[in-house]
Amino acid sequence: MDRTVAERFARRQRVDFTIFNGDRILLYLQVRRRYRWLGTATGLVCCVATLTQGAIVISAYLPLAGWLLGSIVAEIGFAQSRPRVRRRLNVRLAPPRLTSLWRLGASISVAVALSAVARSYGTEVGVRERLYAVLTLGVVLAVHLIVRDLHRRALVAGPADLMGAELAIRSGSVRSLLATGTTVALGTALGSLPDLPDLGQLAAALIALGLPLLVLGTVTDTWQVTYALSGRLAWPALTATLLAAALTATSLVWEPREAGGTPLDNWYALPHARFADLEQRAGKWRLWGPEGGIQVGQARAYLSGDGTAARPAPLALSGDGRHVVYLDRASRRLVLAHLLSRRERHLTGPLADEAVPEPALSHDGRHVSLTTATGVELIDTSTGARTPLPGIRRVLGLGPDGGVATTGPAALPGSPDTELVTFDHSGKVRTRVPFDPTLRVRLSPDGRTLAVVTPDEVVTMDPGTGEVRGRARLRLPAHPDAPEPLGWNEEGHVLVRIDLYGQAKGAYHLVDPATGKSRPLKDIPDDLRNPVFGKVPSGEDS
Amino acid sequence: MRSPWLYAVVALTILAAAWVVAPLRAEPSPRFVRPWAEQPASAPTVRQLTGPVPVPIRYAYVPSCQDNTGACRHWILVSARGERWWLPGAADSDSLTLSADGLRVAYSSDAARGFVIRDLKTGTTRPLPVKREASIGEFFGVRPPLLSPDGRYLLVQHDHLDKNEEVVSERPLIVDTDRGTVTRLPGGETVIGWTAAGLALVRERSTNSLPGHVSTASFVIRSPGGKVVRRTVVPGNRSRSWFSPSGHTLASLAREATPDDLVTTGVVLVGTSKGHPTRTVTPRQPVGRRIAEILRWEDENTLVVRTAEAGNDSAYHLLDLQDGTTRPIEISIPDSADLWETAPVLGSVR
Repeated sequence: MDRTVAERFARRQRVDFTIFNGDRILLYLQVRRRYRWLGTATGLVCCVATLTQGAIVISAYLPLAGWLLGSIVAEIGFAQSRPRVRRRLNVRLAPPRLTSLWRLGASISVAVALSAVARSYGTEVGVRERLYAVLTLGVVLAVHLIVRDLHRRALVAGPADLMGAELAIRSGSVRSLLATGTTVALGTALGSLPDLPDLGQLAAALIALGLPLLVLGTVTDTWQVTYALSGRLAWPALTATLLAAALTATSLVWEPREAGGTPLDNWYALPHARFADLEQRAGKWRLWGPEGGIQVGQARAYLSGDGTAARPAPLALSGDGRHVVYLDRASRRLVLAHLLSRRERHLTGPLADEAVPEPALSHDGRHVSLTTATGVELIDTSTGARTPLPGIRRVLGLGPDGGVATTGPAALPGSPDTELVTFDHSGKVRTRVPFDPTLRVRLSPDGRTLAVVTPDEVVTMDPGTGEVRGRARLRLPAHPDAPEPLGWNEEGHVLVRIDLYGQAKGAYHLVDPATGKSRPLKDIPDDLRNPVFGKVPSGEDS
Repeated sequence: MRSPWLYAVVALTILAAAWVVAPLRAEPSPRFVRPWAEQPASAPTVRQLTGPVPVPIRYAYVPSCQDNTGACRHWILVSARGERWWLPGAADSDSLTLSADGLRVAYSSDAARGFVIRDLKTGTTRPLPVKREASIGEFFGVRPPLLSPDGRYLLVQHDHLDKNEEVVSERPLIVDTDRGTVTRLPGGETVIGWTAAGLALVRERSTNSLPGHVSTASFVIRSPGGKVVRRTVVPGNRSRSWFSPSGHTLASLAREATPDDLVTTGVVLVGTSKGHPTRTVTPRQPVGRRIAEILRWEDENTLVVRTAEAGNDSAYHLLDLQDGTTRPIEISIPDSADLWETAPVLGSVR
């Protein structure tokens, strides 16, 4: 063991090494050090494991929690070698300031955890929040019991320097446990907090960072065990109870969070989204970027059905993959979010399940259309202007200069045809032509070309005139049904999905509309459920 | 004896774990929309068909039981009165067709090594001059054999797999069951169904001259001898149209692509003389039930259709084109989860 470690311990605990206590102190330091580093290493491994799942946030929480766990295990081991006789020692093993900070931190942490327990009987509290609440209580309880035990185990009779060393060892353990325990308990409690407004988040961050910093100041101080009067103040328990009640009451009456109030979970892990799909087991939408996928916990996944089955809640991505529209789980509003800036904007008020519109986004995410059974509303997200589009039934796509839509069968009574309509962003209709409503189409990012995919051909059509500009025979693997067009990539190729007679591989292909030639997109899973595409990969980078 | 604190810790840990995972257990369990179709209290009696049948056959189906009895391995015919017979020679793996009057049945037979026709009124069976060929099955869109409404002509279309293992339909054959002659029709056309004037077929072609469309559908009615009786060209989205018995009207489903699926909005009637829509019939159906498929015309004002709800709960109906009313066709198949999967063959549904 490094000599400086022993010297630092001696300095901080104001203890002298002698031939009677040297072995005891060195053994203590060696064992404690081994367990601590073992715990820290475990924490680091867990930290790296979370990195591989798409998160890019490096946090000291897991290594610190490992460090604490190592300390607790070491103390349990030391306890075996101490007399089992319990008698409260009238000594102060930790500085009063550190003890107070621990009590304050533990009170706050326990209060937050208890409020999660209380909330779970009135509102929805997720598994993650519940787990953090239980862990918080576990951390506080474990630290409290060990510190209590260190104060109660009787001292073995012996020379004064051996007794001093034993007290110094216990003091070192208590100080370390209280300091790390405060930090870890507060960090764990943060995970069980509900969505908070800006001010609440600021307060939580200040407490979670501020208290550990104050604690750090006391750890580096020197301290010698002193005698103290017996008896303790009961204020931590009372504080925790009152705080828990206050937090519970606040969270139960708290309004659903406002736009911009809550950062999106792991949003910033994605520079852009290529596609999204419904993760059936978790019942959550999942966004996939170039490096992997993340769950979108705040996006509602399913809407209640009409008495038969649930249907997927809407989620739309812009063609550049940087904007997403989703149905917010908490507020039941449609929300437009920008992935990089994490800005959110409410597009609607709270919605009943049967009134949730179908959103569509322009390539750059500036324009959004919301389609309901009664009509379409066009929203310019830069100005906030909202334009109703009467008579429009289905939006085929939004371009930089306007959009393309169909009118539904009411426009041409008695005919199975519908009308193909182009309109500008003020809602003014530019052109109307008859249109086959059974065609599977995708509007190009520039809004000037419709890609039509039939079982045998890929056809390009002028949305203004309905005229066919070009057609090419599809060169795809054998498929029983018409391929489904899903989007355009930046090279002007159309992404299609084909059914491969139940085969597992190769459902997604990029088709050149000029030649009909295709190439498979290999890194898109074939088993995506309800896929929604954003920035379609070019194939080379896939 | 262990410390009571140990028990307390274990109990608390279990309680905490149960509380943490409680939301997972609170997720609604999947609901089966309809585990199986309503069944009669007791399985209907199925006898072997040995002679004539007293009333027209309403429908036929393949049983879904697993034993090797005759009633389990052959097609079952159901009369309008509900009597059931299994048809010797018509194995459940073979194709079968009923005439619209429910008085004739044609099927491919192992024993005859080809198609046979049975007159149900007399109970007589005659072989037809069409060989039985291996087919990869109707699941892949192969046209099943089809008797004309009066049961005189039988359409048979064989198929094979090409080098790319894609299904290729061969030229349709029309068998005159009275005379025993066979007419081979031109290839490249898809069979739609029988009219009073002959067999209706369609050929889809790409077009660049019809704004908002990418194809046209050229319908043709050919006499049993193969001659063209009538031609009509309509836009490609009406390629799945059925000629009325007179051949003057085409009926097709008005459909529209939505983000989730193709939805049916009604039945479009098109005059074959000009190829223009005359009107759209909106069926009077319970909310959520839509027409999934037109099966045939029953008469000049009535269609036989298959309807379905969101959970594919299929049923068969007669659709009155005058007022859009629908009347259910009583079909009861034991152990059938969905009529669409069982795919009964319809005969006389009046």
